[in-house]
Amino acid sequence: MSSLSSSISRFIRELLAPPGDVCLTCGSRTKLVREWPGICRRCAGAIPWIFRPRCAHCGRAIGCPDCLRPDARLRSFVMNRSAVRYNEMMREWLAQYKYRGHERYAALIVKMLSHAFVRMQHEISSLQRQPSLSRTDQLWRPDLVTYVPVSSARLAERGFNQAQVFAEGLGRLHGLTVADLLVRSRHTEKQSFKTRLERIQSMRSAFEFSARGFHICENSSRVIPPSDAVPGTMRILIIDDIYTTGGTLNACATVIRQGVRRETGMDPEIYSLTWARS
Amino acid sequence: MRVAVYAIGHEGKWRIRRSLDLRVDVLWWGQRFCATPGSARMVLLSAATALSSAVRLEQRFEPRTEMSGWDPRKWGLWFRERMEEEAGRGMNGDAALGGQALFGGSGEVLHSGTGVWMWDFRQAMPEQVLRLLERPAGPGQAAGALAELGGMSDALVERVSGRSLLAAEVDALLQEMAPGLAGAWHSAAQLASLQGRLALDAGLADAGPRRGGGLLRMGRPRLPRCRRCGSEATGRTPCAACGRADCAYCEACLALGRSRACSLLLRSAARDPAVRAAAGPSTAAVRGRWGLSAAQGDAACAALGFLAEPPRRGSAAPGGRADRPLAPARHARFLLWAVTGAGKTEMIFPLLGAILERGGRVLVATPRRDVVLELAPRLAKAFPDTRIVTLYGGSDERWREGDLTLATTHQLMRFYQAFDLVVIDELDAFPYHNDPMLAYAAEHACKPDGKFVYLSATPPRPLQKEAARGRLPHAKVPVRFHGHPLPVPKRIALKSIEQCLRQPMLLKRLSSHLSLSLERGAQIFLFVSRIRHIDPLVAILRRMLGGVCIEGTSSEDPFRAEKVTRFRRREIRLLVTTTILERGVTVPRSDVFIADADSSLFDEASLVQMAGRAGRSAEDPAGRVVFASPQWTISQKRAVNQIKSMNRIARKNGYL
Repeated sequence: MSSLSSSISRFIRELLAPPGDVCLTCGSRTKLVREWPGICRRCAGAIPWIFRPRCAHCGRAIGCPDCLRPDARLRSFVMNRSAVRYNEMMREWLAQYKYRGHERYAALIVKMLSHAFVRMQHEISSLQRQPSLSRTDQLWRPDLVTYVPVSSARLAERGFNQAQVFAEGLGRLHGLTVADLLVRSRHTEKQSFKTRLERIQSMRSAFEFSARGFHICENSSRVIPPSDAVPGTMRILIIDDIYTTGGTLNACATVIRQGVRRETGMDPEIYSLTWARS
Repeated sequence: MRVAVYAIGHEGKWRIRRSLDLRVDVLWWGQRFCATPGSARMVLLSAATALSSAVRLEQRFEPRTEMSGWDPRKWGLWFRERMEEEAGRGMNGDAALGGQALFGGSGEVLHSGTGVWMWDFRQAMPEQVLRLLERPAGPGQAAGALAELGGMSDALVERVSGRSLLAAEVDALLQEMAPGLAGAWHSAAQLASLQGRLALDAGLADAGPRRGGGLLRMGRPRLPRCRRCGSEATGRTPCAACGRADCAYCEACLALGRSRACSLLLRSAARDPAVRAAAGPSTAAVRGRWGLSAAQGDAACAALGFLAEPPRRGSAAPGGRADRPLAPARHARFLLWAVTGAGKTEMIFPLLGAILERGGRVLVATPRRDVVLELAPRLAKAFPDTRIVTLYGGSDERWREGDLTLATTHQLMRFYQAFDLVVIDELDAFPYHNDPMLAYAAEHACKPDGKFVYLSATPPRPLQKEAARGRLPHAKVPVRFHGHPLPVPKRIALKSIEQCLRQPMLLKRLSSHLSLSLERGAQIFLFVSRIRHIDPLVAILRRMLGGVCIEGTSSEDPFRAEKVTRFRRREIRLLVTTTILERGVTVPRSDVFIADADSSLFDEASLVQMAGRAGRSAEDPAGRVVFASPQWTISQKRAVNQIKSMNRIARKNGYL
């Protein structure tokens, strides 16, 4: 009897309780916004979007000394764009997702990444729109989306690869083909404990091209080879959670270019999109 | 993670078991059954299955009589069927059938009997078992290997005794406390589990049968529950560690590492039954030794009497093994109901001493980290020969073992039936209040025959009722340490602050009372219900009470600590604040004003706590307390009644 009466009273209290849910990121009970899954207006307003990157190469919101170095010209990727600046709040979000394993963040981050992807599409289209080209009203699209892999040990420990989750989410939202083009050949130490030089050195030879992954998607996909673009260019978008020095992405881009050239003879254009730019 | 699953049958009785290290199980059962008469067989079903599926299979297993006649192929088919059922239940295809073979990493999948082997213990080891062990192990060698592993398992069990830890936490603990075991404890844990000294479970427990809840919960899906914090796990994601596409995880206790359906949770109850306090110290002796007032001494003695009582359920059942983890035994409880400023902390010293003297382990849990840090040196001084461990988020004594553990409430989740006495400070405070997760963790931290002592100035209503009906043993300390009665709140009628901010003249009534207090030289706490009221109210009051330093602070104020210090030093005379300062702040010679006292955000407990900020020092025991509100509410009435009744009891007992 008491359990029945308590559940009735709980039911009534739930009916009378103020509307609202618990915000995923700040934990307060308020009304959630519609645009972003699971967060409140205050948190949504505090997202440090990069609307206008200052650095055209790496998409940083502030001036970027790294891209002025002479070796930056030798990069294997065309450009990087990121959704947000990596501030304290974003660091906390990523930590909650990646290290604590709070996987409800995935939907939020994918949505944010998708937002940045659309902005990136418009930006590239406006750059490339030339009178000689016929495609005036069509937006730029990558032919393939891939992601930075993690080692199998890390995958088992964490249970998921955040970059893969982002890439697959983005692929679903925009109808893009996602391919496993890379495998991690060596288990590198956690990046967060290293200096810039150490990171770049450890990244070399950390990845290998997966011809198998490439051919699987080649067979199933309708976009290869790209027919409507400049002949011979294939555009590949690499997804990762965070761009710090660009070392990881550059290593991945190098490996992919070599691999694709070996398999098809084409030299692909590599673009990168990350959720955060530090 | 994934584990091996096998069936073991002796004299026609079959059981399903899972293993972290199959070699240990082979040696263990081999040693047990090779020499004994009677038929016994072991059948490997899968070398790597998601832990959650394995646990489910084990729990739902219904032995059949014909099983003794089955060959490996039949077993394989049976296992495959079970796994397909499981996959269908989880609405995903082949993900649950994640069987990668252990042997040689060849990626061989155990479908329909291909990798299944059977070992009849009366015959020689089959080839697969030999390959598994990598060398022939005769009876003697098996015993030797087990004995060697036995040493490791003893060391492991000793380290994790009384703990409830996820695999990652075990790694961290061993890394720090026993580096020799770190990284290689799976085999030792498996042996300890076969010996029954350790429970190896999944982090989440399957939803049990429906219990209570009635009609309104009928339509709700049954969710798995976290074994560590007791919450329902709502999240389900694909998991690379176990291969399932719907591996559930608990979102409630993420801060202590992720507990999921396939993560390993080690639990080991402390073996010995709970100790009891020695009976019969006299009140005078207790007061003399610990320097307590008359009221404190009487209450402490009542609590000591409770600690000396035999446990209600008799100490004959010390097991409390992990068989029914979600239905903890109800413990014996005692409530120490001490008014604000009574000196609760001093009163628990005799209780801690009584249990520590008998070799018991004690836990003091408190909701706030600063209380832990403040209490630690006082306890160290009172119990100089005791190993004291202080635990809070980021504490570096995380894995240390101690007789006296002082912890914030969340840390309790790392213990399992470890303590003889659990003292819970400020039971009604955030985050304890209304958080079933912490209540669950506290119940599990205490030995089944251990005891609870609750400390509170404002126990929640249900506990008050239980105490009044005589169902909850308790002792009241109705008087402050200085022996003066509690100030009784006085009511003034005042429009709501919302309205007063629009029409500042309405604040005249309040400001005349405030000036009265300022004139008598008191520091003033002015509590409001909303953070957004603070700044405008401070501005208006500064104008009205020109020349008085007035500040406001709230949970969002980065300079909060600094302002409280300045308030204590009397540089700030009037502090406008919210309920964040309702507890734990002692400012000599202070008066308390509560605006919007009818607000639903101020319940009886918080009104009593706020009123308790006044008159705490012996020099100025008669502070003023004013409830300012447009209407009189049940909470205000109950708060005033509670204060009055405490004063009445104090007078009757002659403490004043």
